[in-house]
Amino acid sequence: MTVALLLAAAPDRLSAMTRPYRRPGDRVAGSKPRVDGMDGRLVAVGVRQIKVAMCADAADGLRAVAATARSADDAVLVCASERPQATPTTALAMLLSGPGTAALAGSGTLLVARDDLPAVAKAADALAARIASGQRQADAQAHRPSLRRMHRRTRVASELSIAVRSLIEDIDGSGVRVTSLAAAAATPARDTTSAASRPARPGEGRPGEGLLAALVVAPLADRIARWAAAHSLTPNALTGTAFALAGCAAAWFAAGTRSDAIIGAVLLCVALPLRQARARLAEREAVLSAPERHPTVLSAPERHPTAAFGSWLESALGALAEYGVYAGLAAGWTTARPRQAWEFATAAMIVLALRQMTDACYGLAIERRPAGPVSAGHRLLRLAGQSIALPSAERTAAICLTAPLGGPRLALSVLLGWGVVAFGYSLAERGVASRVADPLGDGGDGGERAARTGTR
Amino acid sequence: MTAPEPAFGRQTARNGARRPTVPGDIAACRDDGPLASRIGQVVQGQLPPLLPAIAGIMVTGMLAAVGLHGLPGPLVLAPAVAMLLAALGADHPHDGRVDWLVLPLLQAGQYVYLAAIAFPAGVPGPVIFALIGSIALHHTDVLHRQRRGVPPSSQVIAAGLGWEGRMLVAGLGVMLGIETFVYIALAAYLWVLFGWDSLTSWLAVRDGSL
Repeated sequence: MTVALLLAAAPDRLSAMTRPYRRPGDRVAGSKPRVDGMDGRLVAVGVRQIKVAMCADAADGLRAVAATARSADDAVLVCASERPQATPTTALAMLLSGPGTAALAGSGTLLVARDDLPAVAKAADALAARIASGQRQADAQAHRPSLRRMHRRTRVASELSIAVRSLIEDIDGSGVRVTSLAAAAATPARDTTSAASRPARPGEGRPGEGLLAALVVAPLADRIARWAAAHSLTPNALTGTAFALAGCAAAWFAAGTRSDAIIGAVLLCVALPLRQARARLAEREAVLSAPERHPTVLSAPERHPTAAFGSWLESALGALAEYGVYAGLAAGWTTARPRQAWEFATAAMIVLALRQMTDACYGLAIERRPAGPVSAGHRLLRLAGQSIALPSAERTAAICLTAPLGGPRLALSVLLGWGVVAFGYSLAERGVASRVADPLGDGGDGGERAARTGTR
Repeated sequence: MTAPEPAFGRQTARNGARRPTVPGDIAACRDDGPLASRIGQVVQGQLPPLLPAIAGIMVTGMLAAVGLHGLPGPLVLAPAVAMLLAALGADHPHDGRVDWLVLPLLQAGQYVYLAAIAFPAGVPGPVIFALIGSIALHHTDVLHRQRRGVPPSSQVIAAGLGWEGRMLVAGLGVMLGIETFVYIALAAYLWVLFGWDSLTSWLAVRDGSL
């Protein structure tokens, strides 16, 4: 369970001594540390406990880091920023999705992995001692030339941020492997590429993902992505594995018996989180490979040749595997006239291809339109709305449930029927969006268009 | 330094100047063959693309619903010819509010026609599935390449016959009674052509030579 430690500047030394830790929302007269906006965002990215350390100076903050690192039993997120908007939520989510110790360059945010806690505690204590004895005074002075007249809290906040950055440098130099992520890179406003490339908060669901993907598959996919990252697997390896599993599923579906259909359904269920994990792994790689000074390169991962190739491979093999499963279901439909089976399979494939084409064309069309408002409403309702549009996870679930229970006929009928309904729903949704959106060519980066595009 | 060759030969703007393909260009993903390009050049993009496409697909859909089996020879080709109406919008820049609907409509007409004439004529189901699957995958690929800015070359577009060419070839095959042979040949040809072109292009992108 990740613990977040927010380093807040105390208004005076006395309040830091009498009340060194607090929680967001605590009422303390005159000492509101301006961190209350952070708690919801931290919980949203997977943090389960939040501590606010009220610090009188940078050494105080580092001692709080050391104390928390010693008492915590899982990863610790150290966030020096008082202003919530200084650290984008997507950047935090990216930070927490990684397997090891990582830092957001420039924002004073550090995630300490469980294994590195003792080393970081030691380094924080050492740095606190050095700062307290004045060794780092020169460094700190260099960063605050005209801060003397500023409010004390602002000055301490700045010192805390510098202290955490110094700590990151120190632990990086002491043998702990620190992955550096570019904070600006994960800012959603800069994302101008496909909807699928935008990182999402856990539980929020990505654009185009429905209930199943957000609530059931996403946690699994996150674990697989972390495991794959830890074992140096590439996204393309996951794509290939998912394709092979779906191909095997198609072969088993083609055998036509109920037991074969169950095996096929299981294989297909395994392939689904792999595909989602691939997307997360690719996002992570895009962040890691981006040069910090040129975050716009990162914000367009498809511009990177390897990422573009991976994206195409995933898309092509995913479609091929899905068509293969449809063909397998048709081949396994032994109780009906063979032609009827292929008619159903062809119709289901046509509906799927048309839906994907419509989504992609709409995505291309609104790329040059200004960003529209993000759809409001309750998260579950929004996800359920996306589920109606039959995204990948729902298609897989439909096949995996209906093929063993009702046979290929039911599976293909459900795919066809639900596909037609989803097509109508998407068209209506796009039609409404087209009427309210501005015409093409007005500029705008379409950063939030994902909410309306939906890559399925 | 020579100017880059426009990837799509038919890309002619309303004023007659050749319009280069840019990423995000919907018109570049229409998959028009040589015939549709020429028809489109006649009106020089003056006609909005959506209405002709709707007219074409309505004729195709109605004829498919009535049943294309048993029609006397040349009438099998009627929907394909009706769909050529949609070619009139080929040169339009597709910048209207709902012009993104044109591509799905063109594809819907193509898929429905290919399936509707082949199933009653007795073409094996897997062959029809493979043919339509190859075209669907090709369209997925073209959209990806458009986003990347590396659209297929004009030779490959022409060799792929375009949506109208494939409909006419399939229709001719059914009309002449050699539908199974034509469908098998067309499916195999398109799988090899699109598969090879797509794979080599993307490998070149990955290696940085494109």
